[in-house]
Amino acid sequence: MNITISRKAGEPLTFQCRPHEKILYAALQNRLTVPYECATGTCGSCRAKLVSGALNYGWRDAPGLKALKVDRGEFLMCQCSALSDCEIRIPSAVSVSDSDLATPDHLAGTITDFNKLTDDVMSFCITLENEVSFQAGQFALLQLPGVDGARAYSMVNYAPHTDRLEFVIKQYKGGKVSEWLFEKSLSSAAVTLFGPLGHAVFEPQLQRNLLLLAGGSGIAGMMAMLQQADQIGYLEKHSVDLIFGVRSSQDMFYVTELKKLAATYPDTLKITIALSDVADAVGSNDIASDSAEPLDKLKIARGFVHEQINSVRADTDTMAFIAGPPPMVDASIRELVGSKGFSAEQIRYDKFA
Amino acid sequence: MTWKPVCSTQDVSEQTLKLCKVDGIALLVANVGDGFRAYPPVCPHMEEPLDESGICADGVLTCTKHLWQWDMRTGEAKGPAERPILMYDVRLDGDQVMVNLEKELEYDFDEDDDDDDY
Repeated sequence: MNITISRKAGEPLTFQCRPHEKILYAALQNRLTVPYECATGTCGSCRAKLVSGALNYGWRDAPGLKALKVDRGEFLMCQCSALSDCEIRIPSAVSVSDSDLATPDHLAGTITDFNKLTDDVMSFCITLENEVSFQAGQFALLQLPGVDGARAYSMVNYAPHTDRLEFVIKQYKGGKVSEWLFEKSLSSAAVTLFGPLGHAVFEPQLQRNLLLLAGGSGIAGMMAMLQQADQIGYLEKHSVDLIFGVRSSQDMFYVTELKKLAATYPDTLKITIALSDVADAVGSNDIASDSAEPLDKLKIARGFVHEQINSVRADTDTMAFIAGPPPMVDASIRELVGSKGFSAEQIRYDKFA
Repeated sequence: MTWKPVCSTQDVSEQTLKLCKVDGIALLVANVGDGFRAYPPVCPHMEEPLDESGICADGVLTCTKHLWQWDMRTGEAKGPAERPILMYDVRLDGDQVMVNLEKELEYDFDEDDDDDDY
């Protein structure tokens, strides 16, 4: 099927879309700069309008549809596939991308190496049939056998080319994917991914100091950034502040990895773990002694991630990355813009809804 | 001209927004320091309620949803914003903020199906 995007400025852009392929996926495979954020039906960013043709609408209850005028032909590109040639419009300028980011594609792999990190968080790996390139901070959409819809997970590891992707997942009651992963914990199941996706990427060539704000499993992309920064010597020349928010001392994970990094770069890397649960009201020394291992250079703070922002190092040269639940991301943006004087250009974020 | 009192100058502190409702019309009053402005209450991007998602700093209004930004004084789009923010005529009558509500200002979110926002 041919999808044609009519544009106010410029000739129409036409691309091929296979039957059952989501229109967003096909547009991205053709390197078009179509807008999207979550790519999983929640945020509504990939809205478009059908001018002619027929669509399979996919997930009818997608939360992202709430802000759309479906009766006017608006639809979510991440949910719809084409049933015929289609002409569509998109409410922002679209062109062919000239960015260095790898073109996303369908990736086949095998899920392995489940590792429980806390009571409700675990990591797993996917070994791909072919190597991929991605940027630290990017994510992929995971499609599990027998589970409707894709879910987005950021890569935890980083390597310029790799056939192994590591992810972290939080267990949600009733969450089909997390139930599948947590309860079945099938080793060696065949899965498919679509990626890499996402614009909130670490670009070492920009030579910026970094402020990394992570809520819960939002730490995933930050771990990849720290890993890349470590590999290329970035932390020898740039300051990096990480604030990692979890509920309580029982919910901390990647402590060993973070401690090692903090010890390697005592002058440039500052890591704070923010514990939001006030019921876990013990002093930081108690937490250190409670925890299975000493926390060394890691600082423990009380409260939410955004409440720690006033104590970080930041200036007009700092690039902030934020990943976590939408309220955490919104509160952090509010703090950065309102109190720290950050411009929009200095903020990159991923909201996991 | 249909000038209506919407709030007192004391109601809106500097670099903040206040959601007001007059004759069934909701609007956001902003104190930009040396004056007041009034905007429709939603972000022109995806209709996010700006009384919740909007933040003011240094004369710039930011919607935290997707970081669209505007010059609070002129309404001009800044940064990633692709549309300006609409503004009502505002004048002060003593300590009353008066807004010309002759016509409710609304963004064209394609209500009339003319593809103006596409």
